[in-house]
Amino acid sequence: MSRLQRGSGILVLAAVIALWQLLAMLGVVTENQLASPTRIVAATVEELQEGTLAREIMATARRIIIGFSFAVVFGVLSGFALGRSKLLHAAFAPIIEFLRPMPVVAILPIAIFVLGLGDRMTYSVVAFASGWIILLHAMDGIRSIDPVLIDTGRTFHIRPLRQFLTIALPASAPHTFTGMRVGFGIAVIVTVVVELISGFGGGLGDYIGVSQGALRVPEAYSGIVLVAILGYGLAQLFALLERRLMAWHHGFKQQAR
Amino acid sequence: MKTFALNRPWLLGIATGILFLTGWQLTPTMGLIDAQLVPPATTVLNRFLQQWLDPTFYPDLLITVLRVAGGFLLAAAVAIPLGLAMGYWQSVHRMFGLTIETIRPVPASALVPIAAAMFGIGNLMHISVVFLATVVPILLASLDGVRNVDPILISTARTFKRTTPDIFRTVLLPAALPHIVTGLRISIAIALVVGISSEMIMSAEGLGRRVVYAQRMLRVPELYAGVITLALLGYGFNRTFLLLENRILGWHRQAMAKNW
Repeated sequence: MSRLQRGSGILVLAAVIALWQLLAMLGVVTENQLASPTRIVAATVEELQEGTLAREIMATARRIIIGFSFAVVFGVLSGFALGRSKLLHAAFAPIIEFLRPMPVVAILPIAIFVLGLGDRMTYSVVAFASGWIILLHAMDGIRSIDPVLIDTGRTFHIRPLRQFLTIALPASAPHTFTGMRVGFGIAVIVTVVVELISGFGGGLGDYIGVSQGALRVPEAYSGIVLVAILGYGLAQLFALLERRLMAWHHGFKQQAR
Repeated sequence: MKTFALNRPWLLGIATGILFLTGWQLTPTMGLIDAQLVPPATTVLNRFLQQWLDPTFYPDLLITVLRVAGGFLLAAAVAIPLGLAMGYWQSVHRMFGLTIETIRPVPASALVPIAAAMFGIGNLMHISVVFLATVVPILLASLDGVRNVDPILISTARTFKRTTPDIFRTVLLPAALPHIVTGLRISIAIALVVGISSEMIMSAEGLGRRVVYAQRMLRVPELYAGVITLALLGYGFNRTFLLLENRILGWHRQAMAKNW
């Protein structure tokens, strides 16, 4: 594998950024439409030094983490309940199947109307949107457990609680964790969209909207880049956590190959 | 009684639905819930039916659908070939992989203000945002699809001295189709969410804008009716896609085996 081949990815990325810089410098796209990469970096450094950006980053990060935590609790608990109890599942199945394809952003205007603008509304919307996905995955996870495992538990007369903790929980864990991973991505997106739409309470979404409105385009772009970095960073942290908790599963899957 | 209910799950579902609707109707009318915040079910239903008689509703509906479908189809047209190529040739994968991974964590909805600066607030802006949001998932699904193709199929085609375009057309694309279609199904949902949210953020027309307008003007029944319309839109897209999926994958042994 030649050095050129290995570096080709970096070359392409560098070429894209260079082209971008060139277009901005040549004036093919005006300053109001597209900011050059150098301007974006300069703006980011400037704003970080001023301290305003750091506050926005913390605000968004806080909302993502708290909203997601609520989502996990709500989603996992109700998902397990709906998966475990045939009664509950039968009762709520039509509503769930109808709401499954609903775009979660549709809930936003109602939430703003009923709960007003502010953190309570943001946490609720993020928790609902993210938790819903987690609920679906957790429920599907419980329902798709190999019946042999459950029957084995019954054969050994294991008490229901113990059965749940030692059989159902680990067996449905992969599915649930996938749901949490997807849910986390949704939490990031929804947090930024809520901040952008409500334009209230700071945060990176608000920062992007306000910067764009004030025609401070490099700042707006830097906001977006920071959102991407923040989302990526937090997702990596979560992946680390998942790898620890699910080490047994990953090892098993490797062996099966 | 429990067995009676469990043997007829649909009955329980209907019962819950009726209970919910009754609750929704009675709690505002009886004053248990502020009727200004949550109007009774009949008021909302009335307003919902009314909007279908409103001639200004249909252009909004059409525009939203066109934007979402347009961005989605454009993304598929770009992402599927590129994803197939990236899956087949390691060199292509190495070339574009880093750039794709960089674009991936950017939430498309956050790009709306910037896209608006570049393209104005018309259809082009919304379509490009939907495009950006769906191009990476579809690409990754196509890539995965090619990776999972049975190598024997490819070797056989090569043994018969098939040209590369032929291999793509007759082997890779059909074999990777289940994976690609799954990616498309996830992406159409993303397209709908991003399309609606970008309309909510910044738009002069469309269903998303309608709902935000109702919220800002405090037209409460209209707000709820709009949300229900959006839910139905999502449901409609999903159903249509499932139908298409069955048509396209009907012959595919691997995909249909799952339905047994």
